Parts: sequence; structure tokens; C-alpha cells
Amino acid sequence: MSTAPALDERLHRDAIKTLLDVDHVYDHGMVPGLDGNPGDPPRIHWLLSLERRFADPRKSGRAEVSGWRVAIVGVGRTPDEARHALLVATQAVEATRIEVDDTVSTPVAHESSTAVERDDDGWWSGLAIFTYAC
Amino acid sequence: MRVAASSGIGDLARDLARGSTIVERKGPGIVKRNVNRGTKVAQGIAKRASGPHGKNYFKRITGEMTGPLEGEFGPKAGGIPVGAGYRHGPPNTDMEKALDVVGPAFRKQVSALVDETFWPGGDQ
Repeated sequence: MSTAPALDERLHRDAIKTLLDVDHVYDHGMVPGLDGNPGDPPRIHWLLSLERRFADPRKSGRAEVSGWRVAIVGVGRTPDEARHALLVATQAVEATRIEVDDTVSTPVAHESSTAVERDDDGWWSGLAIFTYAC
Repeated sequence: MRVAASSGIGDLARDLARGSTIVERKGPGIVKRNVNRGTKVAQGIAKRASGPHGKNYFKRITGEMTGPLEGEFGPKAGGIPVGAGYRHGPPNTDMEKALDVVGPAFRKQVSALVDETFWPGGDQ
């Protein structure tokens, strides 16, 4: 019995980082200069998190395709910078196909997003969530 | 022996007219059941996913009908937002996850309802 191809989350993460094609894409908590990390924080940066969408657990059988959910947080020093970060992310990923493990995904579709908000340290950030099947 | 079936524009008109009453009659129940299920699923996910700060967050997830064929579920506005645009941790995707569970079943029930308007009592 085989399982769905392209299940390695790290490969998907790398593919999306390549797609974003910007220098400052980090995992949560790994931004230099923030969260106790050494270095200077970049004014505008992106935080990436990825999860596999679950299917209804009551159904059995084997999956050829899995759904993925990409959450990109755009962070900036001002609301406009955060909005700009989200715009750049959206333009980079929306409607493109991701290739992982020789499997090409469906075009990346927007799922939901939230408005830009201020956090306790004075940074502004907003969220855009995309989804695709691969 | 032979079977002859015929239908005309009158039959279609009749089906369409009856269809809307079937949707009006059965649609609200389907929406309500799925909103209730979505609320329960989302609350379950929120309960399991919450850390010590968000133990009671699931109580803010409620569902209600917003129209005859329209309902919604989700966290009530107000209070401290949980996992929205903040950079401190991975975002909260409880709602999207709940929709992953509820969405396909809802879609199936709605298309069965539409089928039924043309094939009463047919395959469901």
C-alpha cells in the first residue's frame, strides 16, 4: 500500500520559500533580533507556517493527493509595510503551481486573511492563508 | 413490450417550480445541522489546540442562522483576539480546519437536495 506522494512538509516549505523569492522569510520564532535571537531584525519580513489539511477521519482508504494550508504572516514596522509584505506574498504565491517531489500541485488559492494589527512590541502584522492540493 | 418516456417544457417548468419549495422546506435544516456540527468541531479543535492562556477560548465559538438558507459559526467578536495577525506564533487555523471537516459533507447534502428537486426520492 502506498501513501500519498510529496508528504514531506520541509519540501513544501522550501518550495514556497523559493516561490516567495525574498530574503527575509522565517519560521515563527526564528527572526534575527527578535524573540531573543542574535542579530538585527529586518524591517519587513515574512513568517511562514504550513500544515496538512485533514480529511474527514471517518473515511478510510488511501489518499493520492493531500491538501495543504500555507499561512504567511507579513510583518513590518508600520501598517503600510505589513500590508506591502502581504501584497508581495499574495502576488508571489496566488494562482501558481508548486512542484514537490515531481508532483505538481493545483494552483494556490486564497483561503482567508486577517487585517493588519499591531502587536505589543510595536510591530504590525497581517495574515494571509492559502491552500492547494498536491 | 416497450417503454416510452417523454417530457416537455411543461414538465421542466413544473419541476423547477416544485424544486424551489423543496429547497425552502429542506434547505434550512441542512444549513442548521451543518452550522451546529461546524460549531462543535471548531470548539473541539480549539479545546485541544489551546495552551494555558486559551483554555476557555472555545466558549467564544458560537454558531447561528443569519438567514433562511444561511448560517455562520466562528469566534464572537470582542475580547482579546486569538491568533489573528500576530507574529508571535503560528496563526490560529481552527476555523479553516473545522471547515475541512464540515465542508465536504455540506456540499454533498446540498447537491443531493438539488438532485432531489429533479428526481424526487431519487438517489441521495
